[in-house]
Amino acid sequence: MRNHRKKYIEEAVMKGVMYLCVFLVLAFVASIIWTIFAKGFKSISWEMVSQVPGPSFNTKDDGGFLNAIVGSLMVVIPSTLIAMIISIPVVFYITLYRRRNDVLSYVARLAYDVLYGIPSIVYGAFAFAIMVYVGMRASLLGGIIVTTMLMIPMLIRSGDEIAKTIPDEIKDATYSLGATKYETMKVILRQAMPGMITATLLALGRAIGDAASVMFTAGFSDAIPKTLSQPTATLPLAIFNWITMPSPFPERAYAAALVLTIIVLILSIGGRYISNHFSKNNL
Amino acid sequence: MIHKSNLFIIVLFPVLAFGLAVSCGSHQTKKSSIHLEGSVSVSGAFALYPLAVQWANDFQVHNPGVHISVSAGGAGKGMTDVMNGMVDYGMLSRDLHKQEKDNGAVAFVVGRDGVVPTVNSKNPLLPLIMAKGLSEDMARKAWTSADCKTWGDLLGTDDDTPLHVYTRSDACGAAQTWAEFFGAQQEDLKGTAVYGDPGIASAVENDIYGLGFNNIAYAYDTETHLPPNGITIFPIDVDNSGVVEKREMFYRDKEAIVKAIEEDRYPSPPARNLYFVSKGIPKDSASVAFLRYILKEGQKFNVPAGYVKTPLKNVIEQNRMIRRGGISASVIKENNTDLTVAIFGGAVLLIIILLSPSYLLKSLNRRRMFKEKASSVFMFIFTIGSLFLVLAIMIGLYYKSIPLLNQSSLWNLLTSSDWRPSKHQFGFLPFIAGTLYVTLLSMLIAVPLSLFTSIFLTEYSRKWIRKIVFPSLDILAALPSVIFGVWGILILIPVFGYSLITAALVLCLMVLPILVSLFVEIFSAVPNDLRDASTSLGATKWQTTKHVVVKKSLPGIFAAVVLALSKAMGETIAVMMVCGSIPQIPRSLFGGFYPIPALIGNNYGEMASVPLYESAIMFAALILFVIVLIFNILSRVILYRIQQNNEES
Repeated sequence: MRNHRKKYIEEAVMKGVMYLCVFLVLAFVASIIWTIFAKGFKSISWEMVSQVPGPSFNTKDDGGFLNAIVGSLMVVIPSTLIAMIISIPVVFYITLYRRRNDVLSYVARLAYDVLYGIPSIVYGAFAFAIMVYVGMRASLLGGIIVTTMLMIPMLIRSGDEIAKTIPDEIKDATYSLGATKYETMKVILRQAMPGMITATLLALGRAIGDAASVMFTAGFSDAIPKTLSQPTATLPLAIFNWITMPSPFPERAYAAALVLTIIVLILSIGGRYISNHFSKNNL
Repeated sequence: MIHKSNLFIIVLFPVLAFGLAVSCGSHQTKKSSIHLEGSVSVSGAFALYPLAVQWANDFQVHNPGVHISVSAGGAGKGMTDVMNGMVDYGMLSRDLHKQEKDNGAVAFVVGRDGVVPTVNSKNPLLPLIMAKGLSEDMARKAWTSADCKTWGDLLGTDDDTPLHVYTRSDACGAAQTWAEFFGAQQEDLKGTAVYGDPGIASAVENDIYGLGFNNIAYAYDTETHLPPNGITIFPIDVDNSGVVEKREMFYRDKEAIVKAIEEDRYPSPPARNLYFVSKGIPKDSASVAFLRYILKEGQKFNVPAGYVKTPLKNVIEQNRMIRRGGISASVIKENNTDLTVAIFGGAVLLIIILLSPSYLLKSLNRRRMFKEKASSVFMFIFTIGSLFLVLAIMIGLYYKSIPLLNQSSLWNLLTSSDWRPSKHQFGFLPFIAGTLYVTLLSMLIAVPLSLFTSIFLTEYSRKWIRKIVFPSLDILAALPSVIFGVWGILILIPVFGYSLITAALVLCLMVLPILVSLFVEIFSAVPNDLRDASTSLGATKWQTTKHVVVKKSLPGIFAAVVLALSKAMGETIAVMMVCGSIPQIPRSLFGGFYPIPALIGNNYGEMASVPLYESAIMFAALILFVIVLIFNILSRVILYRIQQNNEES
């Protein structure tokens, strides 16, 4: 009988511990969101998000950080496009063109998983070393290249996952109609589209918030870049720099953190909405 | 056959044309800089950035033909850029290293500023502090000796109010200058290291026992020119008399201290020169004109912006130097950014052109086969090419760390804890230990938390709880690391300070979503039959979970933990913001430490101009890369095996 009692007590205690853990996780999330939103809304103003820094930006409220917002977008959007151009073919190559349990596919998957795990600071340092070697300055292009390198493994990994969910019957059906692999790919691509868009938006969100990679490669400047060879400010780096600076700056950092959080949340929620909404018609 | 040659021409022609256009373009820009047109680029230290921007704006108003770009970053990499000939001037707030001079770097004084010691205004001993002042010996004791733990030790009384010393975490002019005040180097400074000048100011402002140092630009308010609320300047006892005389009290407002520095009444160091560094004497007229402008008209901006004017003797000497020129003729202004941009554009164009013939082929079947083959080749190239990236990173990092490995043995580097770059001693043990400690500690918190959460979510919870928890975890997963850093600074730092525990908590939150999602996936893969069998034998839910579900998924749990571990290890920005950056093996949960990613982030840009130091930083990146590589491969291979088992069963 005692043994019996013990197992029910254990059950109850464990359940309590689990409730506590879930509560703690939710409390942490709430704390972060609350901190960023409360601090951010207190310090943000329309001027901050609509103007570039004015001449006396360093001493008083003169202009905002539009340069960082636009700079971040200018780095991330081209990178996303290039990364998609490179990673979608790779995904289909290892899932469609190669046979199942192919060695190259296995090695490629492993390599991309490893690349995905490499810290972005290592990408940044590596890219910077190369930039120094070829004589390239910190510039928009540098930021784009390193962000592309960062995004490719993300896209390939999630693309691979999505490709796995597509039933083999579709492939068989297209092949039986005499389609080439390339044409089969187009059919599958249509099926995988919602998932790919979600994956892309999520990767975009990761990339736009990554400061370590653009730290050495994109530089920092007060103006919106006009060409690929000019340096550009980025949001995460702006937050990182400003949070420890004197008085008008921490407020700007909070406001910038709010802007960045909102951008990232929109991308994340939007991505999930698309995958839930548009995948209904899929087989 | 005709098709093939056609294709060749179609491809070749635009590429050639493009290349021609690019080469013409670059010639034109070189010629046009004669009539004060052209561009000057400046990059480097944040200390000079505000002033340089003002100079650049004003100069461009007078010379509309010249474009000046000023760039600065958290890691102002001015010296590296200058030494590699990528910018005209680097902004520098320290003296040149000998190696840099040997490589042809020439420094021009463009202004001065000073570093002043600061204390909290609410310090209970403030009257004594103000009366006694800080002598050179006292400063040395406070920042370099281990047995100065209380204000009593510092002031020579038996007071036991604790003393909290702050220093800078990033390689910077201010800390170096301050260390030189008492004959030390930045790496000798002890105390909690904080990122950035304002970081120390706010640390001292929030700690009534704090002692720090600041550039005068940050030690005085930019509007009122008085010390900001909460901070008092610790007067320096210049003549070592043990008391602060009236003539040594020049800290009332910014004007007073600027005057004292100008008249050399404030000791130097900690007053310091700020430099524009160029590789050799600048030659092209736009650069020379900009430098001359700075030394003459530009000086009027110095004092309002919180700096001190360049002393007249430096101005005269430097103007003579510019006029004579030609000390070092190795001025090669190399900027291949435009060329790289062109190559990049060319590559994109090339791909488009290579794909276009599919629309030129007339026969449907041939077109289909062309597409099929072309796509196959393309994909193969992309796949193989991006595979080489792993190899390229490894080889690149190894190649860069060869100079360091030649200088001392691998074993020595990994096991020594002596980090004194100026003496060529690079011991990575403190950084490796810091990285390991913080990741292990964060895992210690994160693994139980996420294990229980995911067990709850898969085995126990009702649907509506899942509907709250999963989206919250998605949000957590989406947040950038810099946001976690901001949260850490705002919420955790006031409680725990810059410490191991703060960083571990931040990291724990960052790996939580990864762990939970992996765990949930692994637990869901356990077949329900097993659960049913267990419960039908009279086991409670927890017993079932413990003996069946968790046991069955142990390899998966292991792999997930290793994966999260490697992710946590490489996390940079968030940890950098809260780690305290003290290069020693952490001894307590509440002390600062210094992980490898922060080492790279803090020092790379500024120090890459000293070859051995750069090599050391690259070696740090290599260590990180190898650790992460091993961990990743290990966990992935296990996870693949589990996936295969799942598919088969």
